[in-house]
Amino acid sequence: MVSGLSRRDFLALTGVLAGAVALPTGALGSALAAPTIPADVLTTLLQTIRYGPIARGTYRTLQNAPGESFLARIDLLGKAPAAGRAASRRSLCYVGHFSDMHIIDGQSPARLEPMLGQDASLWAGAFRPHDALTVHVASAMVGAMTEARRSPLTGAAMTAAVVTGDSADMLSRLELEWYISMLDGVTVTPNSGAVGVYEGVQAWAEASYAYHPEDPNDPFGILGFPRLPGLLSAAVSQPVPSVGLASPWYSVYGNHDTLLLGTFPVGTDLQGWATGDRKAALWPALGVGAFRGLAADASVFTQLFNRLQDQLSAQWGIRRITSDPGRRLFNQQEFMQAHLDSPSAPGPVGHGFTPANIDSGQTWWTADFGPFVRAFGLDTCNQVVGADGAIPQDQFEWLKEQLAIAARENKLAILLSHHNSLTLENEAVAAEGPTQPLIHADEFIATVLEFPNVVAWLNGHTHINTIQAHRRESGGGFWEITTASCIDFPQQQQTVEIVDNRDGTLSLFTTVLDHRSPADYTDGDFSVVGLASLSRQMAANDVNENPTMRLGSQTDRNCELLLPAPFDLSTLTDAQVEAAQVEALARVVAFEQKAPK
Amino acid sequence: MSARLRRSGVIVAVGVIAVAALSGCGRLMSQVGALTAVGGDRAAAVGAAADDILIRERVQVMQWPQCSETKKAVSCTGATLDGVAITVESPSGSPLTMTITVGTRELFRGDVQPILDEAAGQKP
Repeated sequence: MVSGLSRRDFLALTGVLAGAVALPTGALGSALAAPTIPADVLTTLLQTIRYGPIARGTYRTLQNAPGESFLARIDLLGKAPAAGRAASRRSLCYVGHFSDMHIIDGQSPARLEPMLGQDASLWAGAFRPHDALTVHVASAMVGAMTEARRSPLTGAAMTAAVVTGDSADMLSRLELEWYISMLDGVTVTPNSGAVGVYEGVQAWAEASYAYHPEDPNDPFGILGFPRLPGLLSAAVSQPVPSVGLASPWYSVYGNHDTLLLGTFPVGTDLQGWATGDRKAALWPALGVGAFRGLAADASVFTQLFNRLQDQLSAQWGIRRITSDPGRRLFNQQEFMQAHLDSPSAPGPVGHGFTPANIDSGQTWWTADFGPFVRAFGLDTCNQVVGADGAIPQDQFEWLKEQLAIAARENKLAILLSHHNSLTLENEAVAAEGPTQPLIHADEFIATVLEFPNVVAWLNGHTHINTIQAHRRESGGGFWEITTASCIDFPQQQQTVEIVDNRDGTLSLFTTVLDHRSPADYTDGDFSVVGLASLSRQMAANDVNENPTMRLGSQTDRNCELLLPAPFDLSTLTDAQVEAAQVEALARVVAFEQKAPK
Repeated sequence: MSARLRRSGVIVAVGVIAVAALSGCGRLMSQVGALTAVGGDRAAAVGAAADDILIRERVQVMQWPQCSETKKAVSCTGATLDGVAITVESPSGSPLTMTITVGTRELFRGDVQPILDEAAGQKP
């Protein structure tokens, strides 16, 4: 580990780091002095999950399958890579990549599940049979990411983790808190309203479009979804622990963190409905209940309306539930503030956002991931309407300015956004008031290609493992890496490691992670990992989706993505590289020594 | 997004289009357009299936097919190690089909979905 650092420098660095991570110098020093070897960690390099036999009807089980080794892609290199690069490589930055966690409070009135009854294919995203299990999946996914805190390729410690949006599903303040808690290692009981009682469409017989685990006499049951009495109660009453991340994590907005269902702006009526005691079971009720007449005023008309609504609620498809003020819908500023308010460990405070973002309203940021890599957290979400994204002109100008600075400082740049190049096409602008031009995919990519120091663009949104090469005509370019989600099959996330091959080329190694739960669900296993396993199995059988497509190809998963080095990387000395690795490792060692055994 | 709501705006859009057309409001029309689609699914599906076929057929690839979608039709281009063009064409319509050509040789013509299902371990 310390061949590039002199012993004196190593000891000095260890002393400084021991203070920073609050560990005894001796304990930290011996841990840091150990040789760096590829970590023995279970990733899809060793084992994957694929479909197994049919259990009932068309409902398929899942099973373990052989691992997938790295596939070298030379799209940007334009020639065969040097054979000896593996022996000389050194890790510059190792990043964990989450996206589209879609944490759901399924009991919130401000959900649109009943629209599935209006048109299942049109509104499929409004309800999934595993809606109650998203926190369990998040816990298992954080577990997998934290297990991979040391690289399976080089042994380097994780420099940072990123979350590229759609963390909360329906703008619920509880969803926001639960997602942050999972990453920070705080236990959550994913419940709202009545303690230990599930009040939602999966328990209501009239919600015939939904999956009812107690008695699946519904479209899902016909397909073979299991009968699981007690599932909903277990899902909402059991505390879900999380090991938390070992490295600092950073976050950007997704369209679900901006608009309701990632698509629609929120009105004041809906805000009142979200914290109220009525929830729609049938879709016509959404029209009469959720979106009008529920403002908390005392007018005669509102009172009359509410009284009539009480009397007619059964016919209208509205149920009374236990209200919960925690379900209030968050706005843009509250999203950033929640990140600023989260615990300082694993940090950083704000997770990319700073008090300056609150003051200015700017929802994008930049941060250094170690001494060699600068990250740019973009907000590609349209504030007006629509699921797709774009870059507003002011943010685009900021990015160009900042990329130029990074280039002058010989920083490798990685872009982080929710939307990807296939979905950066939203043209919606406010109907009234000032507006600004929106930058879409072609212009965005062409501009980014003007900066050779940009090596990667990490994003999500489509819930599909996808890797695309964006080539520069004069040679080189950057890699666009889109990860799958935690909500739709295959429920995978990934790590990305930037490696200097010391031959004038860089490699980005992408490694896909399954969440830490059994491939094959055992009926009746209501433990946290059991419920995470069940969630993946249900997602694999989602009739309103195309689950198999979201795996992507082998070219989209475990890959070595080569590209020409954008500048002379020998200017980064071994001592600098190893000092950076020691700093990241110190955080991981501190995590390991403080974590419960 | 839940990729599935990509079509969700269609119903909403119908009513709004009528209003917008009558009012001639360009900004409102931009919102209607935003509701109508999230792209990407078809291009991603065709791209993944095409890559699976190229791997299965042991084609030595320099540039894996890069796909774009126009009005639900998908086109992809790539190149082999020795510079021969790889093209993938998938017309609009359902079921999703594709034709993969390497140089002048037609490598594959058929349905996309069975390729994806098989790669995921689904056996008939």
